[in-house]
Amino acid sequence: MATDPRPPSPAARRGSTLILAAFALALVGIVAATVAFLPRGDRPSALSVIGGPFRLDSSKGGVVDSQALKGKPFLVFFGFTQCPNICPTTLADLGTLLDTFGAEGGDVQAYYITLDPERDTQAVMQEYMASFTDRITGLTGTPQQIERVARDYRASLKRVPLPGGDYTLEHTLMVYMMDRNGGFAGPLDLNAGHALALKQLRKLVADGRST
Amino acid sequence: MRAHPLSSALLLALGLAAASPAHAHDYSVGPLKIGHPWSRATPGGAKVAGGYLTVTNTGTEPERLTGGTIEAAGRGELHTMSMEGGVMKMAPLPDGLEIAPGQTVTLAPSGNHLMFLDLKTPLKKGERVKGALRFERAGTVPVEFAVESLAAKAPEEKPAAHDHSGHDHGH
Repeated sequence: MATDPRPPSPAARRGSTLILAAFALALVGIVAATVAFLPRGDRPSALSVIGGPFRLDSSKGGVVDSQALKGKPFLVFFGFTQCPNICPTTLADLGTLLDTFGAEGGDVQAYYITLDPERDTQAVMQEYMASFTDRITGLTGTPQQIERVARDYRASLKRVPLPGGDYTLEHTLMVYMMDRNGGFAGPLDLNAGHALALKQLRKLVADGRST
Repeated sequence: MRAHPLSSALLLALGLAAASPAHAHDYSVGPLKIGHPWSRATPGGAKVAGGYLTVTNTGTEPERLTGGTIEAAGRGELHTMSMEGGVMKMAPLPDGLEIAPGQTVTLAPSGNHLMFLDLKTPLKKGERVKGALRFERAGTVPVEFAVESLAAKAPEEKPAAHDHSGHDHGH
């Protein structure tokens, strides 16, 4: 019973056209949203869609100004100290990774920005971050500063009330790899094992070095 | 001067406890089997910690885990955690978790868990902290939580071969 292989039915083709159209529309939407967010005064590069300048209080005292990071790739991720599960394990895991990378001569600093500036003061961050490698610096600031940096990094954030009047936060867990120009180079993947993550770090450090 | 028999017994007990801090420990309460309650060492000044364990209902009546806490915390709540598009979602479970006859409920870092709030003292790796679980039928059941390392995503004695932490297999 040989039937000729037939080309996709018109209905199927219409279906894929529709999917393509949906993708195109989504793309237009993303570009439009990006453009809409762009004009904000001190934004230097129209290309850096994710990320932006920050000047925040450091867990090591003083402030960290992203201007001073120019020429060095760095990592950024968001969390808060009253996070029971993923934040502390990510910090510990990333710390081990950065120390391993350091042992082979790689130098990448990570910045852990709290999304809970009201509770995570500079003193709280200082005590908390002391439990992890000093290659990770905790950053906090005013609620306005934190809102701004979270928005620049497109980090999603939602406050979830708890029964006792307390609250917890839902947030983006991505570890952002930022290149030597402060541009977003992609997410660091900690779940696929350290061998792969180390490759990502080596590439991050090597990229743009010759230019 | 002879050492008091009680004090040597106490020393022996302490020594034994110190020698096997991370071994699995289980509890049986009526039809409930509670497997290795554990928590994680807390970073400096941390006000929260997570509690993880398994409960199997070997009985014929449904049971419900409604909460649990440790003495070092002000209170504990049952929460659920999930990853959606790279975003960590959290929600309280005010009705608790049903454990149907024959079913095992797992509390783990990447899913349902106990959240201990208002932590008064830090949790240190290797220690056992006193706590309790609350069940609808069985009532309050005292248990100890083994404190694993700060980086622990699973209890230590589990083989590390199955390292899919963070992934949801959707079972």
